[in-house]
Amino acid sequence: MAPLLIGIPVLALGIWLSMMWNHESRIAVAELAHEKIEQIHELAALKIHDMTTMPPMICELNEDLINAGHLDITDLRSWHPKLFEELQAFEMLSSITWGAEDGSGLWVARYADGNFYFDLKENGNATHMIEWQLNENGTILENTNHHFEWDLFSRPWYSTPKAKGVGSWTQPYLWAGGDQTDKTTVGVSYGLPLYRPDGTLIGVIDADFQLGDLAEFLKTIETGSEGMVILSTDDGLLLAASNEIPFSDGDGALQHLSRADDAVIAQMGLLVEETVSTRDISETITIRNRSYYLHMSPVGEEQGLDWQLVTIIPTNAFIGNIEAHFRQSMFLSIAAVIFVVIIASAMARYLLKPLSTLISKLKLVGAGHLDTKVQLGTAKEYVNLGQAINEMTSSLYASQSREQFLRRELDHRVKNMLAEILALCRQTADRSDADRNLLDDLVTQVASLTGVHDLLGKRGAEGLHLRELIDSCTSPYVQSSGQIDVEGPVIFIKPNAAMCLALVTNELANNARKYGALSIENGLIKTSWIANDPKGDYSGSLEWIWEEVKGVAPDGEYKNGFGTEMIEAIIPYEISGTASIDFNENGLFFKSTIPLNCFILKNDDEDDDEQQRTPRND
Amino acid sequence: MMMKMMTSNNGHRAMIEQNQKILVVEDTFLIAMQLQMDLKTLDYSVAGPAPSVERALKLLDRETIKAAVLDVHLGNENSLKIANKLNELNIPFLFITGFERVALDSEEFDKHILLRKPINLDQLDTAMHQLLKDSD
Repeated sequence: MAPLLIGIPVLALGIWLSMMWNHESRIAVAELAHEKIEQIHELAALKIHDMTTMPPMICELNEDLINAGHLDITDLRSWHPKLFEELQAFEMLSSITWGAEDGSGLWVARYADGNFYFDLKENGNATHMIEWQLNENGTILENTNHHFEWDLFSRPWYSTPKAKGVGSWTQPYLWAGGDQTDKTTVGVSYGLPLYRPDGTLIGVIDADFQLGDLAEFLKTIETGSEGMVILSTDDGLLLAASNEIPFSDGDGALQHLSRADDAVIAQMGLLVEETVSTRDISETITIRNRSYYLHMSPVGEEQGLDWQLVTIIPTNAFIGNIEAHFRQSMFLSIAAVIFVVIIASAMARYLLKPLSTLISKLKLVGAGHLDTKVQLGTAKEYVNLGQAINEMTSSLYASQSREQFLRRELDHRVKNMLAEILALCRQTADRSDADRNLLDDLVTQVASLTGVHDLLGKRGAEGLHLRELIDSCTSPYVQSSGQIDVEGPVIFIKPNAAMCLALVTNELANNARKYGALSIENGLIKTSWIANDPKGDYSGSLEWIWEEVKGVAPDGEYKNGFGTEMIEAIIPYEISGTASIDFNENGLFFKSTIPLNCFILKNDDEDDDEQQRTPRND
Repeated sequence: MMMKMMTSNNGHRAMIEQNQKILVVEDTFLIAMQLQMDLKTLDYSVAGPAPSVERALKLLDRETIKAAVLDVHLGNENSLKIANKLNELNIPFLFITGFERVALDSEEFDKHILLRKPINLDQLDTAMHQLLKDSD
């Protein structure tokens, strides 16, 4: 029990501290997580901003070059060194393209194989485009040329800005970057229409860039294993992602986020499609019973783009560690408590076992088994304690044995002495000429007292039942059984009062035998008693009646015998009671009141001792 | 034997005035009766017998006591209180007891004659004689 009393508070404290720590950590982490996701989002947004400002900038640069004549629109073949330079300077650019209003056009492009190519269609009426590969210096490699069918007016990068009349973006498209389709990425282009002073269109200068680099960049952002940053159009088309989501829907079109297999991505797609606002959304959302921090904001607005950047990170990516620590600390708390309980149990066993042994042994001693030997533990103190107790009990045992021996010895001597007196009386009676009756009386009286002494010896401290005393004292005098009718509740007489009442009973019976009811064959004596204790504190008395119901009319000898005198005197003298003897035509009528303190009241053990200690007021 | 003792004490008996009594304190009725009878046989007059301290002290107030015979144990009491009172009143007394040793821690018992029960007439006579002679 004691170990648990220690263990439970320790456990409670441990759990409480862990929970406090966990709670505080959660708050701190929630704040940190919020900051972190903001940082990630801002970083991505900044990068996107940088990237999306590039194509318009390049286009404006080239516009200036064209207007200044450095790029001669009448000599398209001469453009490629300059465009090659530009393309080399800005890695994310995949191509710089020119389309003139007459249908001619050119581009310098960086394909997925890492090489640069120059494509040219000088005659707007031609159907084919010629393509050369460029070396690392931007020089045309001869014999690499091939041609393919190409129509400027069907290109969205040309038709869209032309139609709008201002620089504008095309819809993002899947860009295979040449033949290597496994490097599929998303491309987007910005086209700027150029006009003559009279307002007629010269052509469209365009810069393409592909978002693969952005995706690569996003992948470098630490978002945890389950977090992601996704760039999409506002109608939910995937542009770039920090993880490996396929950009293609399988049919050559861009992937709709809302149709992605991944539930979280699909949910984000729906969110993007549903959100028409241009404001930032920053909140905690629950997808499939998991909690995520989400930040969504529009990007590229300044450049005329309607893109959305979404950053989403599971809350437990941050709290996970805390949870793990919390579990660990809980586990440690419980382990500590189990350890404490085990140690404490062992200690308690070690410390308390001798004490419980001692208690049980002392109970045995208390119950009177003085031969009990106490053997406690092996510690020196316990050995000493055990020895001290053993010495005490063996000394008690010795004195108790001695006392028992002495009591038996005394008892024996008293009985022996009474037997000797009896023998002496009988022998004297046999040899005497004196009154035989007197001597017989003496013998019977001594025998009667011997009997009572014997009974008291057997009963010991528990006292002698009044009925037993009457039976014993009257038995030498009755002629036939049933001559004495005894009636009364069970009541035990204390030893000192017992001798007095024995003498009285003996005298009453002896006299009845000589002169009264017991001298005739059908004589009858009724004796009864009733306890009378109005206050209930044993201050009352027992009323005892002895009445000869069927006897003989008493004569003078009966009335004036020594016995009657003694009966009336001994009760007041020895036990402070009253006694009176009257005679009627049936014989003797004896009535006595005896204080209840002469009796042991068995039905109330606690007051028993009290009663016994009360001094007799005689 | 009894007759002889009685005659031998005749001279001493005459010294005791009739109204001066011997107080007997003894809780056992039959022994008290015996003591009373024996003292009467020795020609003393007896006050009591008293079975308890209370009754003994009452008798001391009421009667003129020449000497006292005290049983040491009186039920659950003892007779030390009576002994103290007798000392105050300068009344000589002797103790009687049924026990081999007096298990009471008082010097009082050492200073006085102690008779052990059963007491025969001869012992009583000698003791009473000595008690009264010492006090004279």
